[in-house]
Amino acid sequence: MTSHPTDSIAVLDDLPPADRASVEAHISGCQDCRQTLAAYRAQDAALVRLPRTQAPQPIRSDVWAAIRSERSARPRRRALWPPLSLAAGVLLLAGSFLFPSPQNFPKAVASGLPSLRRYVANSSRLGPYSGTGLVTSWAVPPSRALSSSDPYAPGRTLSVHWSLRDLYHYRLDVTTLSPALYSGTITYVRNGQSLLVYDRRTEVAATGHVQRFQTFTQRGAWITGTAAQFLALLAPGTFGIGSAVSNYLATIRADGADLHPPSYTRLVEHTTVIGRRADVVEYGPLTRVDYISGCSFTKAGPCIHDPHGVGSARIWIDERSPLALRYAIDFPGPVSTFPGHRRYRVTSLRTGAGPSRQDLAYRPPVKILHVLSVQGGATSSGNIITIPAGFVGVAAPDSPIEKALPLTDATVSRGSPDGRPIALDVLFYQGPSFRTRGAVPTGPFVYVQEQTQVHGLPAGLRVGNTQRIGNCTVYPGIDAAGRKTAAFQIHAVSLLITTNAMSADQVLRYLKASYCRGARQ
Amino acid sequence: MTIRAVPRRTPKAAELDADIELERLMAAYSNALYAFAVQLTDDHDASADCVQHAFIAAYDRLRRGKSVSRAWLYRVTRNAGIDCLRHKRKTAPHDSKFASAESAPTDTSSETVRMRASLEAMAPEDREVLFLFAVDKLRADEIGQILGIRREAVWMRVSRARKRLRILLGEQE
Repeated sequence: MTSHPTDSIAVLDDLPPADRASVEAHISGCQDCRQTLAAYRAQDAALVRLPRTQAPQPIRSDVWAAIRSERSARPRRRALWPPLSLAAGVLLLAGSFLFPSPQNFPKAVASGLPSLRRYVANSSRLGPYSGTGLVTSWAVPPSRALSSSDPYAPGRTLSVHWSLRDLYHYRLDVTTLSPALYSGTITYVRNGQSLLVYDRRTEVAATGHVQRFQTFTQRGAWITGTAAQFLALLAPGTFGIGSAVSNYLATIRADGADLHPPSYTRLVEHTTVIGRRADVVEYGPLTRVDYISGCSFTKAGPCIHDPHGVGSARIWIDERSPLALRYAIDFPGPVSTFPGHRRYRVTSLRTGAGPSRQDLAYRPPVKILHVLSVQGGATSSGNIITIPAGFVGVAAPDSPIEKALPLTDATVSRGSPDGRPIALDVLFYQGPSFRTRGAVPTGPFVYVQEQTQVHGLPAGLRVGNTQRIGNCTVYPGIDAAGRKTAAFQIHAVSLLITTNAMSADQVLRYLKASYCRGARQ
Repeated sequence: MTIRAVPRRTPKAAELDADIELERLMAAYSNALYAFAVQLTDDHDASADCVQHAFIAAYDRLRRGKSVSRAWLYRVTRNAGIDCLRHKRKTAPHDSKFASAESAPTDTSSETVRMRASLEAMAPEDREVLFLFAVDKLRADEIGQILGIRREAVWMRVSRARKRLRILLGEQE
């Protein structure tokens, strides 16, 4: 044994603190020992660098397969993952997707699943909460010049105050903080199956009947999508967390899914947000859809091309309840795409403080229009859809109805740079209600096409003489098939109405009654 | 579509927890255990079996509400590996080869070649302990649990292995 503590140096990191300190003290004054330590460190580094054999992927699936077969061999077999109810039709539909059957569930499980499992499992049991949140920085492609009043302008900041009893009873007040020009508050009150939307700035209110869980669809305004973020609504297709979760589940559901591109989702870390423990789930890559240059609202043809730019998103999910405490999305892609980021942050959270009865019974101080809400959404500032008397309404998102009725206007382009919808089609028709997608109403109809994020009415729609109806400047006309049309704009929303059921005069009266009354008329 | 309630059952909590924990363990240790087993058995198929065996045993344990530590996984993998070696010795001559060529990635840098040669020249028990300590970063007490020896003995082995490796690498006389 030499006088040098070489044995201790060899295991220095593992020594109890006191021993380690004394050895380190010796090392600091001993050239030989420093060399020895350096040699051992280098040895460690070289060993770590040695290529190691990777476990073949089947290990994991084989383990699960073995466990499954053992499970099924057990006399009293219980479902590992029985169908949980999220108590709403759309999720029931999605049920088979969201909740894989016990047989195939563990087949491809992604890391991070524990949290998500807990998250999904709890989602139908959201308790009373209230709090505030902040939404910042909405980026849009530089190719689209935006006015400061545009609701989709970059750098926009919203604050959301919500009061949530459960997923079906809540109130949200979404206030625009920036830009101030567009400041205003939109209130959403959902009380069971009824939904009320009140835009305090325009003093327009609408109410509707929520027939599906998916209150806020992609066709809803992005504000509603944001609200959904905070509510952590799990409906697939819901903007934000819903699709994130769907995406996640799609990843883990796929046979042999691996956590690699083109799709990964993983639990990144556990952290604390506003005093609450949260799981951080990252998913991606997110593909940004680029615009073909020259494509514009006034040009025919599809605008969305060229998936570009890879980004990712992170969701901070409360460990104890299915709330998204933060959401951040980033696209650090090349400049030619549209770099952007969004951040939703919950800034305060209180439990046991759901909405009061008064909140849920809230009625704004203006006349409430009936709003179509067959498939949810259909509401944003300046976008109030009303059903003409005697007509049945059907929202027609991407539906064959549009194709069947040759109403597609070449001036209407679809899609938005960031996946948010900018178009809304609604069909009202006279006759029995039908639910089948693709059914074509024969008989009288009113067809409403709405487009947000527009700077003035598209040129293609500005045809003929204008007429002042209430607070709208309307371009009335007749299309090639002899149907009455009327094009006009409210706030940032352009609308085109086509009908075979009304005379030109009736159309104008309808507009006056439903859209263009003016706040103070 | 109308809202309707669906009868709901609670998943068997222990099973769910076991699933979650097993998934975590597999994500964290599959590769390390596999490499450990390959080093021990020099047989890829057998190694995969050993690791699977360890995870299945872990699941069984988890389901009974017991915890599974890293050291436990290594120990079970190691025991399975030793069983497998015993079986192999009976059935076929052991082909002594550290990290066989088929498994070795095509890294033929001089450092790797020298290191491999040196490791191969080491006593298997020294090599094993050195890997667990220096590469897998297990603590001596964990390694002790795996090998069934005391912590101090692990330290001695690590030290011996390090010295031996330095000599084999020509760093020390």
